[in-house]
Amino acid sequence: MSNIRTIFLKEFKDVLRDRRTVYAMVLAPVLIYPLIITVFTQVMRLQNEKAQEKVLKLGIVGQTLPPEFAAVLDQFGKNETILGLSEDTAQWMSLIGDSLDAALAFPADMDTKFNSLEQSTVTLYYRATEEEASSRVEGLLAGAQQIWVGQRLAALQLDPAAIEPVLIKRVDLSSSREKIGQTLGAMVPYFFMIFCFLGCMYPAIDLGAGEKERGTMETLLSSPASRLEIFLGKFGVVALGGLTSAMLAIGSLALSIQFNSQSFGELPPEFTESMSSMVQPGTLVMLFLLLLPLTVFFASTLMTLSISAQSFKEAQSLISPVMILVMLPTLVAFVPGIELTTTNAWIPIFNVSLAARDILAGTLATGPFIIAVVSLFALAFLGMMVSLRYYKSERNVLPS
Amino acid sequence: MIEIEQLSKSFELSRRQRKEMGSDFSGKIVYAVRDVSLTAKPGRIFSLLGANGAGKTTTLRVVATMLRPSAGSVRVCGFDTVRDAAIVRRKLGFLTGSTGLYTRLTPVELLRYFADLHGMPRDLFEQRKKHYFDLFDMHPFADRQIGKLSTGMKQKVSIVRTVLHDPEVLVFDEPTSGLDVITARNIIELIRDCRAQGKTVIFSTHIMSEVEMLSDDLAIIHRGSLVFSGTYEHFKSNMQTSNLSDEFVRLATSAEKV
Repeated sequence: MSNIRTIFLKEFKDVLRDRRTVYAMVLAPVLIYPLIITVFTQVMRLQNEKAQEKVLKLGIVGQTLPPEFAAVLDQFGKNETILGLSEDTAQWMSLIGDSLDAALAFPADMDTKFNSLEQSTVTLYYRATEEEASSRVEGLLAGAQQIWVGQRLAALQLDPAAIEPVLIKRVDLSSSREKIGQTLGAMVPYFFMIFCFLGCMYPAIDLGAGEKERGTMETLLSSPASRLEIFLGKFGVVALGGLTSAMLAIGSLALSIQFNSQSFGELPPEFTESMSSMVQPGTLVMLFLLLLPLTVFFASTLMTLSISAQSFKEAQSLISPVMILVMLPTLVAFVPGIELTTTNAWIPIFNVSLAARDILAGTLATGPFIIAVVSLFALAFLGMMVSLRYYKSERNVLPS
Repeated sequence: MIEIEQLSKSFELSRRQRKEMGSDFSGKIVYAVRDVSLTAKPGRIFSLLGANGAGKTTTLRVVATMLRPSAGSVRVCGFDTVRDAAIVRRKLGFLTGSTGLYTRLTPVELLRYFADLHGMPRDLFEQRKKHYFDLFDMHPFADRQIGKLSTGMKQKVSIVRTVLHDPEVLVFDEPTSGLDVITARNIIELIRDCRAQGKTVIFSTHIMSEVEMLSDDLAIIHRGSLVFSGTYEHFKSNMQTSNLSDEFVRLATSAEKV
C-alpha cells in the first residue's frame, strides 16, 4: 500500500509539472467553455444588433406598391424601397446580394384578382446565401397577407374563426426541470465524457509509453515495487486526471452560463429553479455512480493502449481513433425520442449519455438505471483487469 | 552472489515479427538465451561480453526480475528471482547506459522516491544523501530539475540512485554506452568501488577495453549461448590470438561453425 501511495504521489507531482498535461487536464476544461460561450454569445448579440440596424434594400418591379404592403414596410424595421425595376430580370439580377438585398414583383392585376376573390402570385427574388434578407421580406409579406385576409373576410362578412374551425390549445404537463433537463442533461454527459477522456489521455500516455520512451521504466521495474503496485499508483493518477478535468469542465460550463446570462437577458426563474433541483445530493450520487466507473474504464483503456505502444507518438496514433469511437455514442442523448431501456442500458457510453440526461430531467426509470450502473462497474473491472494484464506482460512493459 | 543455472529465455513472436525474420524462419518462438549457466561472486567483477543482440540484456533483465526464465533458474543472494522477486529487487542496484531519469523531478526528489520504494527510513536517507552529494559534489544542482542538468550531472544522479540503498548485488547493462569519456570513467570508478566494498558486480559490455580494465571473471555470449565462462586470468592465459578482440571474434566464429 505504501508503494502505491509513493508511486501515486510521485506520478502526480511529475504530471503536474508537465505543461502539455496540465493544459489538457486543467487549463483546457477551465478556459474552453468560458471562451466558447462568451465568444458565441457576443457574436450572436452583435449579429442581432447588426441585423436590427441594417437597412433592408428592397427592389420593386414596376412603379407602385400595394398600400397594405407599404403600410407594413412603414411599420416594421428600417427598410428602403427602390421602385422602378424593369420586368426584364436580367437587367438587375446581378444587383441582388450587392446593392439590393432582395426584390419583389407584384402582379399588375392584383387589385382586380383580389376583388374577384382570385389568388395572385407575388415573386420574391433573393439569394439563398442572404438568408437574413429573404426572411425579413417574407416576414413583411406575411404581415401584409394578414391584412389582405382580414379585408377579404370582412368583404365576405365572415368571422376569422370561420376559416379556422379548430383552435389547438396546448397544455404542456412537463415540469420546467424536465424541459431544461432534457437539453442540459444531454450536454453534461457529453462534456463530462470528452474532458474525462482528454484528462485521462495525456497522463496515460506520459506514464506508460512516455516512461518507456524516456528509459525510466526499467529502473522502476527493478525497484521493490511490484507490477500491481506500479499499475495502481499510475492508474490512480490517470483516473484522477480524468475526473478532475471533467469536474472542472462542468463547473466552468455552469459558471460560463451564469456569467453570460446577461447577454441572453435575465435567466428565467424556472431555469434557476430547475438548476437547483438538479443539484441535489441524490442526483449527484446517481451521476457519480455512472461517471465513476466510466472514468475507471477510460483510464484503464487508455493505459492499456499506452503501455502497448513503444513511444509517445505511437500511443497518440493508437488513441486518436478510439477517441472518435467514444465520442459518437455521447451524441445520442441529443437525439429526441431515444429512451433508456433495459436493452440499450447494457451499451457502454450510450447508457451513460441517456441515463445522465434522464437523471437531470428527473425522468429516470429505475430498472434500466440499475442495469447501466451494474454493466458499467463490470466493464470498469474488466478494463482494469485487461490493463493490469498488459502491465504484467514482459513484452508490453519493457522497451524493445 | 548471482547463480544462473541452465537459463533459457524465449519470446513468442508476433505475426509481424515472424514476417520480418524472413521466409527461412518458420518457428513461432525465438530463443534470446539458451542454457546459460554462470556464477558471479561477491567482491569480484563478472563481465558478460557479447555482440549486439547476443542475449546480454535478456540475461541481466532476468537477474533483475524484469523477465521470467523460460527454463532454468536464477538466484540472487540465495533468493529465486521468480519466487522471491520482491526480496531480490531489494538487494539489487540496476543501471544501464540508456537509463533515463524523471526529468521533471529534482535529484533530491528522485532519490527520495526510490529510497521510499526501498522502504528507507528518512534519517538514513538524509545521511546517505549527504554522503553521496558530498562525494560527487552534487549540492549545487540538488534542487534543479533533472531535465536542465548536463549529461555528467545526470549520470551522477543515476549512479547515486543505483547505490543509495546499499545493494549487495549490482547489475550494469552496457553502463557506459553512449557516454563521453569523463562520464564513462565515473561509471568505471563506481564499478571498482563496488568490488572494493565486497559487492557482487555483473556488467555487460561489447567494449574490450572495459573487460580488460575490470574483469575478474568473464563469460562470452554469442547468439544466446555461452562460448566461454571462467576467470579472466584463465581466459587470458589460454588465448590463441594476440589480443582480446581477436580472441572474441575467433570464439564467436568457431561457435557459428558448430
